[in-house]
Amino acid sequence: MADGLTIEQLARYTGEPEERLREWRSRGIIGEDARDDLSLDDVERVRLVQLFLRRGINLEAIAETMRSNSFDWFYNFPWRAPEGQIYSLEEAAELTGVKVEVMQRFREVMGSLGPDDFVGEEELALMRGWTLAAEFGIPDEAQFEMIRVYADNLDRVGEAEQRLFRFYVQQRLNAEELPPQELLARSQAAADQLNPLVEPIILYFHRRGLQRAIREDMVMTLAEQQGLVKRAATPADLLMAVVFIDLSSFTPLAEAMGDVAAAGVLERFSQIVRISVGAWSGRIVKQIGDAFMLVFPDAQSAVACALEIEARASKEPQFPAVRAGIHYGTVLYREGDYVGSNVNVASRITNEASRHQILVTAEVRKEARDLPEIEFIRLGKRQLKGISGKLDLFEVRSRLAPAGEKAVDPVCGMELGPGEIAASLSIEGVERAFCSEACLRKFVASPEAYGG
Amino acid sequence: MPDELTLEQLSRYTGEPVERLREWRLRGLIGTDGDRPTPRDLERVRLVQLCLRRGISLDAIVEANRTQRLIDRYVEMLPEPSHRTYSLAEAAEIAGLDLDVARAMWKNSGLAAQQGEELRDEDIEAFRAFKTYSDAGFPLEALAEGTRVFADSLSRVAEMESKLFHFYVHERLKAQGLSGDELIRVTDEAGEISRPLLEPTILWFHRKAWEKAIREDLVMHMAEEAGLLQASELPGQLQRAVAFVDLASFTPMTEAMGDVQAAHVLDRFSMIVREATNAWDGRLVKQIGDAFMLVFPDARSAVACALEIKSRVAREPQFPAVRAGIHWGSLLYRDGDYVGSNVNIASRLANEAERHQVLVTPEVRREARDLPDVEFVRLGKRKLKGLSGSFELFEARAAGAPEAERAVDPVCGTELGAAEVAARLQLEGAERAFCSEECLRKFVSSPQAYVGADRG
Repeated sequence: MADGLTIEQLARYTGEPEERLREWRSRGIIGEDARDDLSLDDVERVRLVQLFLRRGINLEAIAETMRSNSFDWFYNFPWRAPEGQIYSLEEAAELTGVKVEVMQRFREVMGSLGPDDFVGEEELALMRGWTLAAEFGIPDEAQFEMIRVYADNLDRVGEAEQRLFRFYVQQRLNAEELPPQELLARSQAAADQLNPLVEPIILYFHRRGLQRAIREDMVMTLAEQQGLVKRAATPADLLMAVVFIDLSSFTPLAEAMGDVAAAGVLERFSQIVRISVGAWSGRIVKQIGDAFMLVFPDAQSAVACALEIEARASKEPQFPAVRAGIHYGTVLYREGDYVGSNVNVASRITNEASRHQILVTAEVRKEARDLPEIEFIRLGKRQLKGISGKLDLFEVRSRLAPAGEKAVDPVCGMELGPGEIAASLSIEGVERAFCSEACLRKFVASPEAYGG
Repeated sequence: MPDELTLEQLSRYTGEPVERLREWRLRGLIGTDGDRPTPRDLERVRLVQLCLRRGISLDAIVEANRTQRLIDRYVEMLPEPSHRTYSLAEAAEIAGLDLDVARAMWKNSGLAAQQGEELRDEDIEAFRAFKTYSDAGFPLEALAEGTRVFADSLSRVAEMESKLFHFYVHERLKAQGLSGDELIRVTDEAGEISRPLLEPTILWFHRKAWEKAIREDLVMHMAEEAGLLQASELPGQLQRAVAFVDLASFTPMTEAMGDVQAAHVLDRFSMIVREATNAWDGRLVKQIGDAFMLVFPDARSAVACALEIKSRVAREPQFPAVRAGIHWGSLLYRDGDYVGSNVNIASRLANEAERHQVLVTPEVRREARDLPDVEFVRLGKRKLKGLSGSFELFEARAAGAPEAERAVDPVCGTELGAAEVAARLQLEGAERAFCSEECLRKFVSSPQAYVGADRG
């Protein structure tokens, strides 16, 4: 198999002029001493150098590092099998039967098949399997959607692996101030030990995810047959309850406490949300700063879950108040996300909610009204931003939970139980409580900024 | 040979009373493997429980099981069911994993909710892998964070696979007139052919993504050594440019055009954003309705990318205007996301921006000022919602880009070139253009609703 590459081929695959490649070669950045011709590894090397240069790292520094071989492990990844050929998209389309446009999408979303339209053996194998999608009659649009969901989610996984490795292995080793060669060897050893575990873990979580998705799908199909759920009019149309739930004073809190402490609060919130959502068979669609978007197959679970999250968050020490908005209606499933004007409605009513308030629409009330121990209080019609017409809103309350009065720190918005008040201040008969001296100091320095 | 369970064990694992399990068994829902229940019955019970929670009656489940083999089909579709079950403590002990770490992983992955306290051989394998990570120095928080990212991402992938299969394979077969046993048989066959392809596809995407992440990490490392970037002090802290890009009138547009049409506009926008982001070495962190959150290793790429998105969107026919906010500073990487007050600032900036406007902070201007063909116009100090103090803002503009005047439909907010105007209305001295007669009708029936229409 043609493994060796000429400098012309390399220039064509990478978009880099030949004379520049010659220069890089003479400086030992690409090519290997032992052989005359170039290899597919050099395509990777050139791409890496291009990226370095784009980020403002000079060629001298690159040459220095490349010569010290400290990047060799990058080319020695277990799956990197650079034997084989490179094909143009047209050739690959001919060989596999996948449309050029579909292949183009793979290239666009991954951004890593190179600046030109070339694919390797690995891609060819993938494309051969992908032809099944077209055979099943999955339209191009839906295929693009699949590609984007795969790419986005596995991108996030790849990023997490690398970042966590850097933060918890690399930086810890750096702190030991080892000599460079030993540092390299130790971090290489850690990578060798951990890297082979990654793929099995991915497949494990995927299998578990599939198990849940299949279960959901079978129940949804049966519910449709039973006439319990309206049949979808268009593909990807689903009847769902959408919940937005957030912390009502997170932005001032992040400002007052700093990013790290705020991230700690967010992590506690995220734990509470996850546990409750799991228990009510909902799904976390996404996290947007301190807000979570959730979907549930029915409005009852959505209401019960929001109440549970609110109740659990209220019991947390030193924690901001939670608020939520819920709407029920058809939504479109797109790319692992749910979109449509009903999603906008849920998001807008959340913005209307005050601390500890759970607002719902008339549709939710209708669906969830026989939930035990819950009352719906009519709030009247409201005009919501960006939505024409007025919406009838209701507040949901649990009859069981007595709202324990808590003091609110005017700086960070944290709720404080009696034992959690670090300082209290009384000015002109108004009493204020603070979570820490830092918040007290901020308040005293400019009371007018905090409603003083 | 699968292990056998007693009814009491089955009841303990699933929380279902023994007498109810007996009834289900009599009605053929569980216990179909032989004389005694097996671990596969746990799956059967869970499916029945879920059906009941969704309001499907026991009679309907029994009927569906008799006519469509509902429950056995489900069990057959599951990837290799394990033969034994363990408690969380047993599984942790076998894997040598600290019980606290095991519990954190089990909860953070959502498996505690999905599977209860009943674990399988494959769960023990995963615990062994976590043990290796733990030994390599990953603290509990890092393992919990990793678990959340892996579990969330792959559950989203699985959800997509299952939903698209349902919409495009099952529903299509049904539309072709297949029904009953025939429909089930053909759907299941298609499932059997396609399922083995899923894992190689995932691994391919993962490899590509991992290579990309490693490449970025190398560059970051080099840039830190070269003094181009400040090295982070805390785990998770990174210097990044963060950009929010959205469509200036998407909510009214969705209302006016309907969900499907709006989703189509979003698809086009999403493709433009993705292509530009990849071309400028950025990362799409998430999509929030019509808004995209992007991060870039440097402010220059962020500005160039936002301007590219803006000019590409402006060339699209019948498309709303784009707006963006960019800030540069230290961010915290958490759970596959980036958080911190600098992220909030960028998001607030995008809200402040007018149609076609790219707003940036002085930090961005300082970092990106030598970008060729870009000018920064000082807008003065502004207050931003939820943030104390006021911020000096700049508008980034491509120098010399001609701003073609386009009419804006007051109902859906779409921008219209001269050839795309479906109707023009002169009313009380003002001229308005509409993308369609439908928008015109909406306007005429309640003009006051669209005067000074909201941008959000």
